[in-house]
Amino acid sequence: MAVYKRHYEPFHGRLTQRWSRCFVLTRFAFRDLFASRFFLGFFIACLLPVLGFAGYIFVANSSLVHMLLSLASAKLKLHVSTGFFTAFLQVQSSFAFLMTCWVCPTLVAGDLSNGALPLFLSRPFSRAEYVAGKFAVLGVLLSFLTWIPALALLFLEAGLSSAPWLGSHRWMIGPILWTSLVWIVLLSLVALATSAWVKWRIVAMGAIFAVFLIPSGFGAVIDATLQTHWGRLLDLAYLFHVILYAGFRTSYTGTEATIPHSAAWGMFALVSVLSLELLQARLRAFEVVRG
Amino acid sequence: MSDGASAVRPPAEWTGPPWRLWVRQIGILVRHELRRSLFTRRRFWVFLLAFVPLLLFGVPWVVHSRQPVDAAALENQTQIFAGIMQLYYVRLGLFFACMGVFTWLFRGEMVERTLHYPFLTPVRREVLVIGKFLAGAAIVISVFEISVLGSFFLLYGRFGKLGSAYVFDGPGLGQLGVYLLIIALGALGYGAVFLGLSLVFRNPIVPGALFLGWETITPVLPGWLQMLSVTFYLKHLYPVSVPSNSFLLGLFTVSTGPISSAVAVAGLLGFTVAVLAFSCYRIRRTEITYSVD
Repeated sequence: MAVYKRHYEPFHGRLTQRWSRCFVLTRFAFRDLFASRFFLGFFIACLLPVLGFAGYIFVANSSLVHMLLSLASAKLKLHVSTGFFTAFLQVQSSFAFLMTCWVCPTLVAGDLSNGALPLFLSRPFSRAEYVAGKFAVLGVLLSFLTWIPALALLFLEAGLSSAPWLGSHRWMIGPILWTSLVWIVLLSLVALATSAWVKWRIVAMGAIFAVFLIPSGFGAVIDATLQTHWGRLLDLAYLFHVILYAGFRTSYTGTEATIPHSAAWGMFALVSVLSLELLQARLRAFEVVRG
Repeated sequence: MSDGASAVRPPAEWTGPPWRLWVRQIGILVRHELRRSLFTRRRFWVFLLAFVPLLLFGVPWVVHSRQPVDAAALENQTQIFAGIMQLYYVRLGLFFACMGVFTWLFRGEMVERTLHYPFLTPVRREVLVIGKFLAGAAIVISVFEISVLGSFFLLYGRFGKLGSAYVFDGPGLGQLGVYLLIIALGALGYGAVFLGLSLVFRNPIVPGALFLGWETITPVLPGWLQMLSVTFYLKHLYPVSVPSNSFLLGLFTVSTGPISSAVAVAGLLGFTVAVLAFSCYRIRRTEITYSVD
């Protein structure tokens, strides 16, 4: 079709900085997500365990409770240490998984099924920036479920403890941060790759759910039939627990034979690279329509 | 006069419920659905879910080929097979296969914007539900039963004469029959639930995930609540009990108050019929809203 009107002019407004362009996607994604009351309720529900753990810290530091326990000559000792934070991160990592299953398909699958990707990528906007923008949504949300409340709990304990506590437990800031970030990166990459390959939101949600659960079943079958324990390498949640416990300098006692944490790291790296490759293959500025 | 009236009387199937017509329509729907979705790329993962154990049961033929095949090893393998049946096939493979196949029967047509075609045909919606349900059940049952049969053969075939004696002269064949029955009943039960969920919820995956949680925690709930789960009935049919050495395994394999196999089968069939009846009621009120999917 011939175009006769040639009144096009370049955009004269202020351009968004190159480095922050990806966050435009993040901003709009957050606006859409928090427009849903159901999502808001779910997000708040995911934070409820934080209140429980904070309540435990208050109780553990209450002189009244200590007095009652000593009167009852109970053997129960309430203290906040590595076990407390590993338990907290285990609980919150499950909520992070559920949150990812809910959020991720709305981020990518819609763009692909509605053919919006060529529109994004025809602008001065790269595929890496597109992925970074979507990744940031999950990164921020999952941070609010994992390491941010964990650090808040750590400082709450430091503030309430009568004895100098932070000095001897400061080293836990590192494991809290990096174990959470490892889980966030893995969840986000696997979920983004799955969403990119599955066209419909409903299917994508089920697929993400299945991608994490079904391989653990395959692993159990491998262990049973081949009489080994290496099948657990397919259980990503288990591998996270191994890394988490290694980070907190304790050993994981979930099963008798455990996977070495170097193997867990290797598997995480492999899955992440594979997810990136799948994203790379799927996110293109064109679509091949068969038939 | 009366002779003339009887001459123009309509056939019996026009006045009463046209059972013959409905059965014929169900048959056509099942065939159509099977042709449309059994051997498609979209169903690849159902085959993957079903046949991965089959593949893994084949590996010991190569890896453990020099290991002794005695009665103790056979007993051990029987326990392993029972564990895989209870934990993998029923809890995971069959569950997710049913989730994918049965939720897609109606929700898939909604997503692909083709549901108005079957709705516009002169077929009662209840017939449509039953036809699609039977087609889904045929897909899942056939694929998983082939897998169980193959796994069973690979498992006991490795033991040679000992395995053959266990299967044909011992309890093996009976156990295989029960396992096949469990797969069929499990597919019907899970399938009915997922079909119902897909007619109630726009996104049936979230309630499906909740259903998985429900199926997991029901062993610790009161007896009357356990009856609302599929695995409650299946648990009473397992021919071999699995020793539980962990909390999770114990939770999955615990057997509550004993009920007879016949009651368990009848109970699960009753549960399936009740959920299907709800789906038939629900489909009458279903409206097509492609714009929101």
